[in-house]
Amino acid sequence: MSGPERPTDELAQRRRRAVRTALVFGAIALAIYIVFILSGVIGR
Amino acid sequence: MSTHTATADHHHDAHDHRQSFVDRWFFSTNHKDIGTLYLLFSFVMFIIGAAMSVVIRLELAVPGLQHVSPHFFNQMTTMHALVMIFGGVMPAFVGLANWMIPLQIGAPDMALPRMNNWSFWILPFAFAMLLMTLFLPGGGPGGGWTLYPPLSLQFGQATAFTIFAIHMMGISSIMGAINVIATILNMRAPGIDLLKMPIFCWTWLITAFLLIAVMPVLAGAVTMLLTDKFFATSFFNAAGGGDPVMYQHIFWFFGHPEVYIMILPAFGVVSEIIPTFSRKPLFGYQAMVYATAAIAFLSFIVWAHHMFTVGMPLGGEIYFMFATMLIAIPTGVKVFNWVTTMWRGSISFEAPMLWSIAFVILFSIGGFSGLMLAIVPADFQYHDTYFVVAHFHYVLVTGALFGIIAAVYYWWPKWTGRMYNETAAKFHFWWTMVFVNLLFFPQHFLGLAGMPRRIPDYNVVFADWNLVSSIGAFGMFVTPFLMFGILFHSLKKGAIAPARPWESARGLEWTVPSPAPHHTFATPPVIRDGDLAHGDVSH
Repeated sequence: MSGPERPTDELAQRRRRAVRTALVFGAIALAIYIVFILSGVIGR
Repeated sequence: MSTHTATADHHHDAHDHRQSFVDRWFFSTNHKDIGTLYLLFSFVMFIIGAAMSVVIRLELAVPGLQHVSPHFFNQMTTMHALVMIFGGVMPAFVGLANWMIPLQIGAPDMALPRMNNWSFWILPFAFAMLLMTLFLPGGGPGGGWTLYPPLSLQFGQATAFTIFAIHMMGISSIMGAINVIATILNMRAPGIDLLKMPIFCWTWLITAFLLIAVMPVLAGAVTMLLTDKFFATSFFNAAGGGDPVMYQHIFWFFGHPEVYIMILPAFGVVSEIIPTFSRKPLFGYQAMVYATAAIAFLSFIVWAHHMFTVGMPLGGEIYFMFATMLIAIPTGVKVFNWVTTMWRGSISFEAPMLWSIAFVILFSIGGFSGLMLAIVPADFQYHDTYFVVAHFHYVLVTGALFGIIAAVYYWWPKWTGRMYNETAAKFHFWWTMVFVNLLFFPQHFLGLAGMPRRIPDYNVVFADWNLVSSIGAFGMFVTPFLMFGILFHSLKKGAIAPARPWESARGLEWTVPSPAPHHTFATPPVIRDGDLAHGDVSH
């Protein structure tokens, strides 16, 4: 049996959404790192 | 044995296009190849870490200093932990995630394949740098894997290399976690709702959130250590107004969730295997998901139970004691559900099931000793003794490592298209069961009797159980080679595996041929009820 052909643009859209998700979580990780060190510096 | 194919389009492109060795393995963006690389890397790291543990147990086999200097002994305990945690257990689970998550959710690959390649190839350089420190003047890091200052800042040239290596491992882990989250949230095939995903995907999704939250904290802490050593800051230097105890709080804010990062994916593996070999659906699927999330949440609010003896207000001790005990509730839910899944099941005891049952029993022993350590007055007695060593090895060896071994035997036919020799695999299991318990169970007695950890010599009253423990270690060292032999033999001479080698296995991964083609789900699958690990398409 064969599945329906997915339009290429839908797959591309999924990829774009995945990149957006990755950028958001990457930014969160970077923010934790920077804010954490800054809190150590400013907190003193 | 049903082996219908839920998908339209699979390719063996790696073979058709005749990729060169370098292209395939160094520049690969294929989730299966990268998964294989992760698993091979972790296997090598397990051997190196195990060799270090043999040095430790050789020294401790009898009282007195015999084979290595105390300084080198300290380097071995430190490096053993760093190698096993960051080089063995974590990459092994990332390898399993790479192999299985796209297959289980019907995705063609991980969401960010190039980043996936980069995440892996950072690791060999990070560990080359870490292991290289053993050959530097002054040797490698020897202050324990926790790198507590001021001790960790007193080593020679190793500090900078170690901290840089930890940064690299952290970057690799964070990128891997981002990839898992992006894949699961965006790449699921139509019909695979979040609450119909295999439980392995759920445990990995939650693990990935933990990684994003805590790895930057570790990175921040070791960055501060670095600036304290080389740039005259005083984050943790009491002479400059800093606070070394603050480092311990920060470290364990990372360190306790790290324990769950290493065990939650193993929970997922066991939750896949037990239903298959009990021939029943997983009992309480949603409860398992919520219990996993609850454990992850609780892991953030219990860190100071590692620091009771450092000193803290009584209210703090009581809070951390009871918060820690709360973890037993969602963990108990999981153990109950595994046992209930087996209850009145038509159980068979193939190797993956044996490892999973052993996981449930022995991990529970580690959990119970953890409860003992959570009790503040008791912890004052047990802290920094071999009781703690026994506790976390029951969690991490008979927990995390057993989960990894169970997963390898379970999915091996899908990866390679070959069955392994069941008798040999059972021998591997029973050999390990004997020696792992010889190795770690006596350490409970040693700890309760007061033997301190991280010490190369000890009082003669501890001699007998130390010898037993060392014999266990020597027997355990054989096991990775035994497993390698079984798997190598399977690759060369194993029986051909069908698409669904375990008759009751459910989930999309079993709908593709064995070995899984190089490219799977190039077009999204049409999901039918039998393809889902949990639930029905229509409900």
